[in-house]
Amino acid sequence: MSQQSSNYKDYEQSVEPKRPLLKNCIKAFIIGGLICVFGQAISTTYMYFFNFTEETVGNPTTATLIFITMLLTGFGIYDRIAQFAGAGTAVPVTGFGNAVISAAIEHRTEGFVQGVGGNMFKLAGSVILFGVFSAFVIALIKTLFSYWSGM
Amino acid sequence: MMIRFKNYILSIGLLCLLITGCSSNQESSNENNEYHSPQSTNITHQDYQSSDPLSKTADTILQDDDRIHSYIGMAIEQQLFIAIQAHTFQQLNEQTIEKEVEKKLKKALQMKDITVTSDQKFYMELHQLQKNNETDKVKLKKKLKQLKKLQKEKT
Amino acid sequence: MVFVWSFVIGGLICVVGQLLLDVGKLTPGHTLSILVVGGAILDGFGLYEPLIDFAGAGATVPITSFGNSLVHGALEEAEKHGLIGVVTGMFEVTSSGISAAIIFGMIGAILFKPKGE
Repeated sequence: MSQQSSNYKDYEQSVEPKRPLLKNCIKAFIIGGLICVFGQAISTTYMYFFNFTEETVGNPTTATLIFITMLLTGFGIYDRIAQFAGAGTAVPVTGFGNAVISAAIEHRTEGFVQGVGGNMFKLAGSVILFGVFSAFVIALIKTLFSYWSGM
Repeated sequence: MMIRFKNYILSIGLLCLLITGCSSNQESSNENNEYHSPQSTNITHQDYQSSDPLSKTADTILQDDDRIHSYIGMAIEQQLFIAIQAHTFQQLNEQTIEKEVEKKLKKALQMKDITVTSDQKFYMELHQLQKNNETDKVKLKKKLKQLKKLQKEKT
Repeated sequence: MVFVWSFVIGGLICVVGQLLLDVGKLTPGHTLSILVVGGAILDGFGLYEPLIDFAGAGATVPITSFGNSLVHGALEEAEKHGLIGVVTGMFEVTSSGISAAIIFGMIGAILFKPKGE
């Protein structure tokens, strides 16, 4: 049996479509970089025209980017860019926003409570879970360490 | 059509990179390369003249620091507020530089009310004040109070 | 110029994500979770804040900054209020990303039809 399953694994690997790694990385680099530059433009505009400092400008920038993501997702443009750029659109916070918003839009037919509410956090859930938990562990270790070395 | 779309995006991306790359070259050619002395500008008010030993000491300390690219300072009635800008790669350490400079200034000038910040916002604000040539003492005091309050904000 | 470095650093973080997707053969969920944890670890070593000072939006736009703000909020609160601050302080600095995603998700669900217009 195990001979068969390893044969099948080899067959599976040979038929799987090859991913052009370098091309994907270049596309991800450029699109991801462009999104960040766009975010930087928004940040600088907020700092110049409003009373935000370098420290506090991150929040409105993120909110604005996700607002724009909502428009792009609603009109179906974001998915086309995402197909082209792979991680370039998934890694920035716009990808997070897109995951939540597109799930919300898609499941709206099932009702707001069950459909939208129940399915919004398919991707976001694991990000929030591991973000919060790892932050907890790291902050705990660091604080305990500072107490221990302080003594 | 999709292929044309992809090429379009790629070429725009490369173009942007080239343009921003070129503009960064311009900035470095304006620096004094020989001694890396930072450009300095000081908004002084009637309380302090540039010959005043206080602002001279501050200038010396700031000019001595190789890591600082430029700075703008505002001095009013025993309060000193300085916005610094570090060289590009030194920006990684800008928080450390900020604290070190503040400590040095407090020691050298024996003043308590000194604020040093590397935050881009304050550099922009002081630059704007300088451009407008603002000399009204009341307005400057108000601005300084506002800037100090802004600097304490965390979110 | 901060724009160049935000492009480079942001692009590099996305390349790391792409490598996790293509070479690691991980799902987007795995990849994003790993990146968030990575951001949290970097802030634990005090390395992420200098990166933000250097690259601006190149470090605050990728999802890694979410991990960074969580650790940052937790540590700040722990300094003020002791160990319990680790739990209470986490979302103090980082409300924007999640709130915005939820709010605009709801607005999107109200305004837009599925499969785009």
